[in-house]
Formats: sequence, structure tokens, C-alpha cells
Amino acid sequence: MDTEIESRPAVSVLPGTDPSESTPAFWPGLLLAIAATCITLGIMWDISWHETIGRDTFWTPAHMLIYMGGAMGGCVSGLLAIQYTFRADPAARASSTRVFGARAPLGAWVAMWGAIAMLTSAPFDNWWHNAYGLDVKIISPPHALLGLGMFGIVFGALLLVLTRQNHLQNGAGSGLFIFVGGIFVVMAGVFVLEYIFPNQQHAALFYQVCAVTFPFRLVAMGRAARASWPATRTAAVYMLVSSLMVWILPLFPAQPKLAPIFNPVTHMVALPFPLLLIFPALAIDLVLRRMGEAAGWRRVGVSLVLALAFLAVFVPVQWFSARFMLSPLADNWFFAADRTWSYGSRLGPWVTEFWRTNPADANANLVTLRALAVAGALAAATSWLGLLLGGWMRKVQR
Amino acid sequence: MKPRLLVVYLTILCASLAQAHLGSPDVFYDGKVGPWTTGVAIRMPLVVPGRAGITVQVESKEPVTVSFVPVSSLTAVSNTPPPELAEPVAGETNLYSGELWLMTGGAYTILIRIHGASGDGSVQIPVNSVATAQLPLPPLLGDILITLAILLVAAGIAIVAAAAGESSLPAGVLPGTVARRKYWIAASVTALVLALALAGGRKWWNAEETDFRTRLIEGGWPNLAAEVRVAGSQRLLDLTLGEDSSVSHNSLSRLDLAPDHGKLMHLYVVGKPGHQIFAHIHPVRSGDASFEAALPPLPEGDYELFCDLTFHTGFSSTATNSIHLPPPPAGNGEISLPPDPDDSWTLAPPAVAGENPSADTTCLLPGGTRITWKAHPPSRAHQDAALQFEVRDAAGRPAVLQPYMGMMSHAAILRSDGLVFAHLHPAGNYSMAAQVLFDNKIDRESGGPATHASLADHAKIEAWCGRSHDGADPSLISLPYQFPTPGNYRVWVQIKTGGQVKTAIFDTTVSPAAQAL
Repeated sequence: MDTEIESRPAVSVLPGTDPSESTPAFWPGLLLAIAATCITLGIMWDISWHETIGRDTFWTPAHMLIYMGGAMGGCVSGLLAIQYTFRADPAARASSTRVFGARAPLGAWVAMWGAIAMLTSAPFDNWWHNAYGLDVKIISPPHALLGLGMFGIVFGALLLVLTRQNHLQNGAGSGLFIFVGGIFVVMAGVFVLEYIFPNQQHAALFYQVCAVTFPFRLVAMGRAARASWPATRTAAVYMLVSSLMVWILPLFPAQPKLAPIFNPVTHMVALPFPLLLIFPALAIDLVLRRMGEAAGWRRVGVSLVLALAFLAVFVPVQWFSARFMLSPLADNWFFAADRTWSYGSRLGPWVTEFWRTNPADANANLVTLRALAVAGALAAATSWLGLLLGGWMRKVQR
Repeated sequence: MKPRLLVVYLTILCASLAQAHLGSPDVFYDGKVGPWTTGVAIRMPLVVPGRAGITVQVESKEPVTVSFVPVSSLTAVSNTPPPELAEPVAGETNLYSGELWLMTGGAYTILIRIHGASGDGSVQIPVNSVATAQLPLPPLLGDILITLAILLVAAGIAIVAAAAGESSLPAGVLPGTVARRKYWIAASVTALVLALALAGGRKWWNAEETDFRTRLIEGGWPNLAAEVRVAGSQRLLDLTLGEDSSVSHNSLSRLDLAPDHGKLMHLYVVGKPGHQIFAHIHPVRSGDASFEAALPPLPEGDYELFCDLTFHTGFSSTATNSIHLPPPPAGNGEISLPPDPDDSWTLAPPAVAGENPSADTTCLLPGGTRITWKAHPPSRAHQDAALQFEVRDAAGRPAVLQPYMGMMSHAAILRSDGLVFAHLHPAGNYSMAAQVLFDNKIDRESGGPATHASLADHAKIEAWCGRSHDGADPSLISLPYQFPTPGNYRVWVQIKTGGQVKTAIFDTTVSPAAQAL
């Protein structure tokens, strides 16, 4: 009956509640973190499956992993809603948020929304395949809804473990938060996969896409996590999880099932080696250490510094590492540069060349000062959003 | 774009648009595969990419292994995927089924291999991979999706509002004025964003729908322009392919047509209304995409045209149009275009007024020849049409059939509304020309001896004649087919005996498919 109390300038508190007793339990956060991990690994596995075996039935193990993550996310968040609405004591109820009269931690609501979106996308996608053909375009309305749902579960998991971290002292709980943050970055890397092959890392679009995608997440994590070097740790999780998939997937024998087969692969195709985000993340952490607390116009200034720091490290690191990735030295199990081409790829010199870098070509996309300025503006904008999100996340209590 | 690339592009484009037959996309085969008499039904997907359902009936007393491989005309045989194994159908003997993905639009052939203790055999059956129908959104699914969308939107607004309003409040602290203001601002902004997202999603869906419809061919293809002119004592029919089409006829000329039974084009001219008059003629090329034919003595009136084509990619299609024929010119004027010797026609009304499938139905032809449609169960969609015919001469003896353009029989099927048309042979309803093209492709690219299969290839004719060479009565004709939809159909069966082509006409009413138990 919390709504009966009038708000006053002074803080109103529900009688019989003690904020110190409302620390969220560990297990729901862990389970949602597992769900988020299943979904993200499932997407990476599914991409490899499509590139190795081809499009397949709904019942592939990779799809099952994704939907298991969705089901787990829905069940955990649903149980949390039941628990907080009907079975929790007043203190626990008072540490939750209210949606449609029911109560649950905010992360549970977001994850539940994601599970419902994934559930909705399933019959929608099935009909879409029957009506327009199977995955004529990968980015379709039902797939966008599925992607939103998966994002919802991962972000919900992030919020749930964040709430626990924010309740605990001395950085306790921040490890799981940083792990889920790393998964959050992995998922972002998967969504922009088609723009971040080493062959594209001498073209302007790569840097602009990365400027939109990564500073936002790394800055938000850098602001929200209560551990030292949070953005760096988050980037390390991203690199470790992505690398593990690069190393593990090609261990499994597989062959294409759909024509035409131009590249007769014999093992699961690897995803590209992860970006070396740990270096720009280090720069972000350094900037945030000195000027993380900012508001108003000062926040805009910090965003500009963050963008500059990100690009000043990211551009040279990727520029030179991409050269290595296209050399024969990277054709091994560790970097897997020669194991990333799908069964439908007609292999040729282009696999070891940089794309869109010939000024004479109509589709040239050169890294010019102007292109870098665009990337800088984008990085500044997303850094500003990251600061905003991170600042809010630091305060999330429910 | 380089000219060669342009040709390839246009070839792909055309292949992605064309459709064999009208309203009858499924493909059937009947004949020998290795030592076994085999019947194959390929249920084509309505969209691309999609899964073709394949059933194979093998007349064998031993268990066999059946596998399928899709071979695309656009890629090398060496780029085909590994075989897909068919599974035995539970409760059936020697019936196998499986599914096969057809990933791109264009001409494919399905290579079916059978392996057993008695030996090995294979056959390849050409199919067209093209979107042929628009699937409606079932009302129940639509209602479910709308309900879930409303739930997602409402929950999305409420969650974001809660995030803004109370998520950062310590436990037990109630939202104050500021928090409530944040709550409502967040709710309003989220509602606006979601409304824009829904509008964008609707626009996106409509764009996808429009894009799909450019690849959807529900009727004939390519466009067919038809004109009649009188030259001397002849009426000449001028046909032009591809006019007003998205593909100009210049590109069509580059595509090259493959001869089917030795003819570039098989044109069926069917009288309107009632489909009483029927002619099967063979126009010859007069220009890049132009063809002409001397018309037989059909009376003045309106006619529908169904024009069967096979492109050099192995893709087959049926172009359609309607035309009004003037009366035949009088007198014995000059003949500028000799008629094709294999042209055939019938002016007689159907000999069969009704249909009683439980008894034999006989069509009496000029000269006393009789063609009898053997008694069969009532016709149903998606079930064996039981098109088995017996040919007797005037004395009642089994007739001696002669190959008519390489086949023991040709048949055409037309639904009364003209929206379903198919061209059948004893071996099946696929394009024989496409089969020859794929035979050559497979032989050439597999490194084996080129077969150069042609209509002069006696072994091919034997194979195409289906079961008739298998010790059965040679006057019996069996045409593997399943009617695709309910309706009233007319079946024209053409045979050649005594040097003359004869056409029998039958009617049948096809009921809806039986519901699966």
C-alpha cells in the first residue's frame, strides 16, 4: 500500500522496512548471468553453424542454447516476480520496482520483457520463413524482435547483478557484474560482426561502427562497476570469451549441408579474432579515474576526452594488428585467421587483402581525417550516453 | 557492368522469376532407377529458400538406401552438398521420404540415388526453385502477435518508467515528486519511441513484402505478346517474349532456349469458352525473342495460349496470353511458312460429357481408335491422379503406339478457370530438355563420358517411356501426376498411332485433399 503515502520534500519511508536488510540474493543474479551467457555463446555458435553447415532446422544445438538461455531468463525473472509480489517480506518488497501492480527487481522485469519478446519472435519468425523464405535476409523484423529480446535478457542480467553490487560494500559483487558486462560487450561485438573482419580494419566504416558500439558500453561499465580498472576488466572478459569461442569451435568436425559449397570446410568455422579492446579500455579507465564524476557541460567535455582517448589507442592498435591478422603468421589455431571463411566463400587473394582501401574504386572507404572526425564525434556522443547510463547504474538500488 | 557479367546477371534474374507450368509446382517422376521401378513425388516449397518434400516409392522386395542431392545450374557439381538420406516411412513398405533445402532461386535438379543388394541406380529430376505463392497471416496467429505486441509495448513503457522513477531509490523509500515526474517523462518518451519503432517496423515489413512480391510469380512468365496476321492462305501467329517485362527481350535472346522434344517452343492453343478446341503447335524463331507459327484450321474465336519454354539454364516456364483468331482465309493462296509436321489439333467437342471414375471412361477418336481412362478412385488434390489409359484400335486390339516427339504420349491438363496448366509425359511432368541439360552438366563436370543425351538417344526414350518398356502392355499409358487444387479439370491425352497424332479428351472433378488423420 505504498501509494497511499504522500510525497514530501523529506524522504518517505515505508514503515517496517530497513534498507540494510534488502540486499538481493546471489543466485538469481548468477542464474540470469548464465542465461545471458548461454544466449551470447549460442549466437556465436549459431553464426558458426550457419557458416559451416548452412541454414538448418530450428532444432540445432546452437538454437537450443539460445532458447534455453531465453527460457532460463524468463523462468528466473518470472519466479522473482512471483516471489517479490506474493511471498516476500515488506523489506524485500520495498527494495523492488512496481510494474502493473506486481513487484520485482528492475533487472528481472527487463529480462522478463526480453523473454516475452523472444517468445513472440518464435511464431512470428516461423511464419516469416514460410511466407517469404528462410532467412532471405538475416536482419528481418522477427529477427530484430528476437535480437531485442536477447538484448533484454542480457541487460536484465546486468541490472540484477548490478543491484547486488550496489548493495554490497568494498566492491563485493562487482566480479559477476563485470563478467556480465563483458558478455554485454561480446553481444555487441557479435551484432557488428560483419563490419569488424581484419580486412575491414583499414576502412573508415570499421572505426565509425566501433565508435558507436564500444565506448558506450565500456564507459558505462567503467562508471558503474565498483572495482579497479572496470572497463579494462570488462574488455578482458570480452576478449577471453570471444577467444575461447575462436579456439574451441574449430576443434569440432563438421561439413556443409547446403549448396553451393565453394569452400569445403571440415571443421566448424571460427569467428574473427576479437578486437584488442583491452587497450582502449585501459585509456578509458585512466580518463574516468581522473574525471569520471561529471555533469552538465563538464560531462560533454569528459565525453570528448574519452572519445579522443579511445580512438588514439584503438586506431593504431587495430591498424597494425590487422596487418598481422592478414599475414601468414596469423594462420594458426590461436588467431584462426584462415579458419573464418564460410563454406560459401570463394577463396582468393581477397581473403588476405584490405577491403575498400583502393582510392580508385567507387566503393573506397578511406581512413581520412574527416572520417576520423566523424568517428570521434560518434565516440563522443556514445561516451556521453555511456557516462549517463553508468551514472544512473551506479545509483540503481532495486 | 561487363557484358558477360550482364548476361550472367540476367540469367540469374530470369531464372529467379520463371515458373514451370501454372499453379502446379510439384514434380513427379515414374520410371526405372537402376533395377527398380520407382515413383518420385517432389513437393516444391512455395518460397525460396525453402524445403522440398520428397517421397520415393521403390518397387523392391529388399530394403534400399535412398538419398537426395540438389544440383544447381549456377554452380559446379563439385560444389554440391553431401547426400541427404531419406527415411523409410513408418508403416509403409518401400516408401521413403525426406526433405531438401533449395537455397537460391533458379534451376535445380534433384539427384536421387538408390542403393540396394540388387545394385545401384540414380535419376535426376529437374525442378524450378521460385516463390509461387503468398502465404497469408492466419487470423489466430495475427491475434496472438497483436496481443503480445500490446503486452510488450505496455510492459516496455512501465519498465522504463519504473527504472526512471524508483529503481535508484533506497529500499523502502517511496517515490517523491521528482521521481514521479521522472516516471511520467520516461513513460511518455518511451511511448513515443515505441510508437515510432512500431511505425518503422510496419514500414519495414511493407518494404519486405514489396521486395518479396518482385520475386513472386503466381502466373505465367515471361510476358507473351501475340498477334495474328493473314499471309496468303495462312494465318500466322506472331509471338514475342518479354515485352513489357522487367527483362527486355534482348536479354531473353541471349538466354537461349533449349529444345524440348526437338522444339524450342510448345504452344497450346485452347478455345474459349469451355476449352472445346485444342491445338498443340510448335512456333519457330523469327527474331531475337520472336517466334511465328502457321495456325491450323481453328475456327474464328477467342483462344488462350500456353507456351512451354525451357531456358539453357534448365529453367522451364509457361508464358500465357489470350488472342482472337479471325476466320481462316479462303482459297489456296501462297504458303509462306510450312506448318510443323508435329503440330496436332482437335476441333471435336469432348467425347466425355461427364465422369464416372468407378468405371472405365472411353473416348472414341476418328478412325475408330479408343482411349480408355481406366477406372480409378474419385480424384482428389495431392493424391495420385491415376492417369492410366489404354489405347485400342478400331478392331479392339491393343494399339501399336509410335513415339510422338520422343514420347509415347503427351498430355495437357487445364483447370476450367485457366489458372492451372501442366504438360505431362509418361516419365513425369518435368522438362525433358532440362533433364538433358543437367545430364550433360553432370557428365561434363563429373569427368565422366559426355552422354549427349538427345531425342535420338534410344536409351533415353526407353527411359522416358516409363514402365511401358518393362514387359507391360505397350498400349497402356501411365502419367504420374497429382492435381494441385480442387476444381474441374480437362485432360487432353495425345498419342501417335498409324502415323497420325490423336487427341482424346477427358473431364474430371477434383475434390479437396483428404484431411490427414
